Amino acid sequence: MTDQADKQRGITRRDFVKTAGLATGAAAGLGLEGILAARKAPAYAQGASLHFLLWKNFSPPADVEILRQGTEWGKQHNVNVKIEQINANDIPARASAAIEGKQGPDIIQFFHNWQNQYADTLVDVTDIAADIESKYGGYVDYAKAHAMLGGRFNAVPHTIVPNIFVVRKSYLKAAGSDWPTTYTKTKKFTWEDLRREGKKWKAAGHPVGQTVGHTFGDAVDFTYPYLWSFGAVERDERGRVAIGSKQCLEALKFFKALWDDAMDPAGAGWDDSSNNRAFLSGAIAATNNAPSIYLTASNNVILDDKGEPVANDIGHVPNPEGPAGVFHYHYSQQLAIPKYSKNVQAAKEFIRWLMDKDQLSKYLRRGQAYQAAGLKVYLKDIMWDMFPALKPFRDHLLEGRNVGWKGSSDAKAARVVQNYVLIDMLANVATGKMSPEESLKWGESQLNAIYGG
Amino acid sequence: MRPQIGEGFGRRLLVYHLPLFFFIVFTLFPFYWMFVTSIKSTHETYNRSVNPFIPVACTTTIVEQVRTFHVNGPALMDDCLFHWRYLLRDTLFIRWLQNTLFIALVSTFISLFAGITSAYALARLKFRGADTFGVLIFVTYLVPPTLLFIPLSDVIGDLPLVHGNLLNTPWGLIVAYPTFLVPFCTWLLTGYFRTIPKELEEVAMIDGATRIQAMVRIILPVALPGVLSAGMFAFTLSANEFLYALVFIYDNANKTVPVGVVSELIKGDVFYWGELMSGALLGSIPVALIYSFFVEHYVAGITGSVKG
Repeated sequence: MTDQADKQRGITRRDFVKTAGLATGAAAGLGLEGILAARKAPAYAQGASLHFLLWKNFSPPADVEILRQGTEWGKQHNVNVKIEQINANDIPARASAAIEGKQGPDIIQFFHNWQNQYADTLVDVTDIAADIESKYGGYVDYAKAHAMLGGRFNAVPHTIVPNIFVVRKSYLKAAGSDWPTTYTKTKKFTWEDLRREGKKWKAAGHPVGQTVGHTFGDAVDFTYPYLWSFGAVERDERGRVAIGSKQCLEALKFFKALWDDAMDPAGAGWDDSSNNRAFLSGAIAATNNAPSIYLTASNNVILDDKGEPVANDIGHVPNPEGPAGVFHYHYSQQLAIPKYSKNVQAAKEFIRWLMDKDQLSKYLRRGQAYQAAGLKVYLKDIMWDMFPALKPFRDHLLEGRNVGWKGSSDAKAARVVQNYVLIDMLANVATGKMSPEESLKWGESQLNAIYGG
Repeated sequence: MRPQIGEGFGRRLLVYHLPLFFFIVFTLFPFYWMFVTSIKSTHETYNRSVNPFIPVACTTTIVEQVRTFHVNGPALMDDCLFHWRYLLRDTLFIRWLQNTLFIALVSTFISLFAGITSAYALARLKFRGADTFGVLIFVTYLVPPTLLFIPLSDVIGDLPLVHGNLLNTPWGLIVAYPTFLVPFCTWLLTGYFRTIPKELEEVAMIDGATRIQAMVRIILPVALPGVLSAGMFAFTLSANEFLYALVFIYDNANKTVPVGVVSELIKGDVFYWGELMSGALLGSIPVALIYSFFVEHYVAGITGSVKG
């Protein structure tokens, strides 16, 4: 193309080279401040493309928003942004193949701390993660723990899917239970209370429903905080396997009683969708879950037998208290860049841009508060006023811990999650396959094999 | 079943019709369940107080329209075909179906060709290690895709195409699927070829036919039921394959039905049951059609009908 032709389009080649050089230099050397000083968006190679792999969001408007954001950033930077969305359960297989084959998405969304298994093959994103943290005032602790390994960020904490107890208020009331309306910070509801009251609900045909099956979300979200609340942890602060404790044995023994007295035995084979379906159809009275049950009931205007909206009958309360306190597990989602990417700089800048308040707040709000942010500042976002029924998820967001707690959330902790070791310990007891003592021994041997104890 | 002379209605009912009725109900129930779920509203799917086997809102609408002789398309669409409309209009389902058919047909054709030639060699030609080789082919079929998908991804990423490589194209799957289809077809057809008397082709070769002519003109027509069985199995396996299709294809427009449906209609921990069931029902039609066309050959093929 000649300078004359360029001039007809309003820009000369000289201008383009100057702008591109300044902006690229600014992006590489000076970060966001440099870009702002240059007053131009950084330019990338002509026809550059960016492939972003993430889950198919529960909340369709959030998908529309992330696609819009990708298109907008792509236009600004002359980059073809391709956003691929798949079922969350299928991300590990796609990520493994891409990383082993050294080709595929430039940005991958990981759940829990999955990306730590590939830490050596991921780009160090400490620079942008630290910039974002200093700009917005800090990440949620466990989201940060999941994204870091060995003092460096191998992913940027993006969002969190919170999980607490979801209850059907009318079923509880009909069985004479005063929970959850009487729940206060001083008067908490214990696992023993759940067993006692759940027995009544089960007798009325609405047990507590919870999966202890091999599924990435609900099984982890329930099992980990349940064990923590009894003081059972997979590793101690020094990283040694600590599951073989009397607290863990107590937790397993109690779980057998809870399962038999108050829970739906079908839960042993449930996946992440099963408790949603059971709750919405009135088969169970309580379950630990994300906001999806409420949002499905609300968005689809699901009515009960009397024609009343089920959404109005849903209560959100924290997990029951155990001997060691109240614990939650909310799974984090973070964005990582594989080293094979040919567009690392563009990927970094895209993530930085996605984390800006303008983008992230829109993504979360349009997602109807299904996800929270990995940054603490969003606890005050107006999103929670838009969906007041979901405020308890916000109120208990900071009570979460990282997988592997009290140890670090390293690659081995990710393997414990992906091998469902702690979940199987509960399942073994619930289904009668093993006694609590046998299951404890089995779990300890599994953890020793993984952690090399 | 044709009644025999002297066979009473009661006996026929008890021996043939009743067992056949229960068998049909048992085998067709999943299709009925898929269909019923696909024409229920989400609210109705979750409502345990109504009969789960009857789509109440849809049935009421249809009965009302028949009673009043008034066809109300929008009402029918809202009460009966809501999920179908979403599946066909708001997703790329038709495109996924085309991709699936194309990939499954080409992979099946390639695998059948390779399977027939290698099975013939193993069944007829005497060479050292033929039996061991036959066993090894079967063992290859037993290697699970979960072990193979990572190295295969590497291989397919290295195979060049016009603008890039085979990843994210139908050709990636067309190359990958024969890795399990060829051993399967070979194993199935080797057994079938062995049931065909050698004398048939020996006679042809005495009359002047070459080995290839004897194979194509004498053996293949006799082995047609076996070839069709292997082809139908290969088509079904490749049309239903999930893991390779998930790993090797990125673009929504290039996906196959099993991956497209799961990617688009399972969102977080919420399953879009109506749309999923519509997709499952529609996706099973090509396979069902192929089976119904070739059912007699298929039965002959898997029972090994050629007698020596």
